[in-house]
Amino acid sequence: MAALQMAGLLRRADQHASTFRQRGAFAAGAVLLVLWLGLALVIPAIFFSAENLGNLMRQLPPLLLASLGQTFVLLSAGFDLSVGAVINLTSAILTLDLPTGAKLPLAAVAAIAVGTVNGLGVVRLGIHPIIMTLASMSVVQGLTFVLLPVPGGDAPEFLVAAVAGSFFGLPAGLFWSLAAFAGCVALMHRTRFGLWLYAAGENPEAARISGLPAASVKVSCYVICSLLAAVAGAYLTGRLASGDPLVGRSLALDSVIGAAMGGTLLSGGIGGPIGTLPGVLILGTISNGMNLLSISPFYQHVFKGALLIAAIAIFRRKEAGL
Amino acid sequence: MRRLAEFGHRCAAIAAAMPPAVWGIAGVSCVAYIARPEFLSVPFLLLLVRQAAPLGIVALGQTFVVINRSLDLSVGAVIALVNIIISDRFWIGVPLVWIVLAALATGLAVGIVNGLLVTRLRASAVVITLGMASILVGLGYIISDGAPGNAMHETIKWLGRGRIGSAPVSGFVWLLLALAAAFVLRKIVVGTFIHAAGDNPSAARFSGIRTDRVLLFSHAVSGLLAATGGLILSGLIGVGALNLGTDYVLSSIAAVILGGAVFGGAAGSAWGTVLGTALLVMMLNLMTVFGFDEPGKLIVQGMIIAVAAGLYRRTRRESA
Repeated sequence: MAALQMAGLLRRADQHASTFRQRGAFAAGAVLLVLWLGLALVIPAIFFSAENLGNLMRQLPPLLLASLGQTFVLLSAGFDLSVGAVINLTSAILTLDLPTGAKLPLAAVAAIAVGTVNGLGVVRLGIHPIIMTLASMSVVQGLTFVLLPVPGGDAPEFLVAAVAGSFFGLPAGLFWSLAAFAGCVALMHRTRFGLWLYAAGENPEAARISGLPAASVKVSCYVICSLLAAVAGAYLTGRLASGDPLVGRSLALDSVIGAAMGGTLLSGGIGGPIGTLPGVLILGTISNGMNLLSISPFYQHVFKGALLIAAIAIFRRKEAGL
Repeated sequence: MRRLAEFGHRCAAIAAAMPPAVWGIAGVSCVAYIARPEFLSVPFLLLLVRQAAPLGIVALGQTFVVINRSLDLSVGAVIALVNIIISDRFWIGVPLVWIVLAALATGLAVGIVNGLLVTRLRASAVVITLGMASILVGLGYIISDGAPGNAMHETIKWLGRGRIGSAPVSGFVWLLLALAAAFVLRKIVVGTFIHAAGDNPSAARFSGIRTDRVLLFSHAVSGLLAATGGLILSGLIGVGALNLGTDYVLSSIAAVILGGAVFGGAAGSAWGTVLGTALLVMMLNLMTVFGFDEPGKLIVQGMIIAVAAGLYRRTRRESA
């Protein structure tokens, strides 16, 4: 009986996966096209120059990586405020005075630990995700300051090369982005985990009763998010060629904006990593375009906030509140 | 004998229902009493009250939205904007009333817009108030052109720093507002509605409560109290500054949680939040006394929030 129920639930989740859940991705893609058309009319020579496009490809990977991770947590009806702190911690660990062979596993283990603690706090202790990740953000940032009080230290050389290099004449950042994007989309749409995540995010009670491992799925989302944040931290460390305990400060919120712009709802179950790519590109294009049009950064703040509210207004929910 | 056992049970039940801040304050006081008795002297505690008052007032506003199952992440930006507005050279020679009115109107307007957006768009309060925060920070930069003024009215400075006898003025403001908040939340019908809408929005709506208006009210109160906190903090600082109050967003939420509110639930009270604020400020200051620096404080603060949220949630669930 339970198996039948579960099969029905999963089939429903699967059918919805392609159309209803992805409407945000279509909307974001359309907005992106309009933006690009606009820029093509106003400043084609500058925006679509090889130099500017190369810059975008080098700048956007950290935001994309963090937003992809955030997408998984949002799909599970969670929220991860600790993304920025994990990026900072990774930057601090990777510039410690240790052999490179030890630093990479250490950074990965640290990220997995943070994700697991977040997930268990939310699932087992029943702490609200915002409070749980707020608390872990505070702790992780404290640890980061212990390891690296001020910017400094040397990044591993291979990391600097892996970020600064280019393949086939394209910046390495593009390949970081493509790899992460392809991995996340495959995980979401080609594995059982993705299906479970949709089912559990949309209706946790039904998922639990049908025998889905809803708790493990949720915890996994936080671990995935922290790991992707760590990769973003590694990229930023390689790009700076040195450590900075505040390098990811703005990314906790920007990652939410990126995912939300791509049509992932904060109430869980709707959206997905496919939409996050155009979502992040919209954000990147807008801030890049405003810089190119030499709009004051003061106004950019106002614009970014208004944009966030507009993006969220498109997708109405049943209940007002958190 | 049975009576004694009953009495014990009742005591245990009362103890479990008390906000985490009570235990925290008891613990911090014990540590201070043993290690640094001078920490508990009246003059020092009054100094702490002056330091805690702005946060305490902002956290009172946050209490309304958290009880109402929402959240206000724009309080820090409201503080920053109020500070920039009232430190502007424009106000030199203008009567105090107008300055205070301008500050409070700013906060109230932000709160109302937050409330309208949250209720009309049915969007996540987290995202709406974050977006609002970004807009307000930008407005602050635009108004001040990146260089805030230092025209702070003497009376506002007195509100932030002054003393009546040896007691800080800001402490009295905090106390008055806490009384008012407790009155609204406990004694009049709006408070009952806020609790009901936070506890079970659907049930509240079916009972005929206009939950949208209630939520709008809560957000308006939060904006108004954030502006009041910004006014007091500006008085304490005495000049205009960029990015004043950034850390008040997280601290105010922490104070509400330590005060016994369950996030996404109806628990929480004005006095709980006052205690939560007191605990937070006492703890951070005691850590300074013990020579902890910023990293240590961040770590301990985070752990205490998680533990308080976890423990309190658990006891509530078991008793329910």
